[in-house]
Amino acid sequence: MLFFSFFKTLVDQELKNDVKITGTLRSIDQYLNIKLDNVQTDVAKYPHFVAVRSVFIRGSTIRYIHLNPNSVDTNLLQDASRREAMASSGDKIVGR
Amino acid sequence: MSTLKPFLNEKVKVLTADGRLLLGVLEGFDRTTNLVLSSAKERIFSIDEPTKDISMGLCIVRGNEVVSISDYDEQVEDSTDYSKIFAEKLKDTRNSLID
Repeated sequence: MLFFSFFKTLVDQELKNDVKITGTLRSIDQYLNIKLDNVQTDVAKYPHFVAVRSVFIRGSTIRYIHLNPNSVDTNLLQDASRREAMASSGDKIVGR
Repeated sequence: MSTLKPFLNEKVKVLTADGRLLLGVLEGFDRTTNLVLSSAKERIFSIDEPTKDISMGLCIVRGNEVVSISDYDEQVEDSTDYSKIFAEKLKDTRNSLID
């Protein structure tokens, strides 16, 4: 999955209950359910997350996923998207 | 595929859509993240009362109520004194952009 291979790095999430979770993206599926490792949250504010190691987040509760713009290479992403679109449709995509 | 398999038969913390925290052993799950928790308890945080646990036994959590499922370090968990922790209730996940 393109999204995963590209964003296998540190991501910041904001959930619909206003909780913010930071972690390393471990896996993601078609519902946008997400698994994070090395989870970091504001434990003083949310003691719900005391001792938490890895977390599975249901896609439907995610409001935002923040990405660091510096870690996104748009040219590379463009190429990868084209290649994936080409592979899935089987048609030849005419370049710019 | 982002599966819950690694969490099976592990102690987990489950956050629900209305902001509650459930603890228990994950006995089963399905595609829609319906969960079966055994020896479950609900942990209630409050800003003016010490944290308390309410035992609930075996229960099913409907998938659409689930926000997150996490495993935790038992040593850190056991060494945390929850009677000294005061915290605000979590918001729910419904329409919270409006208020």
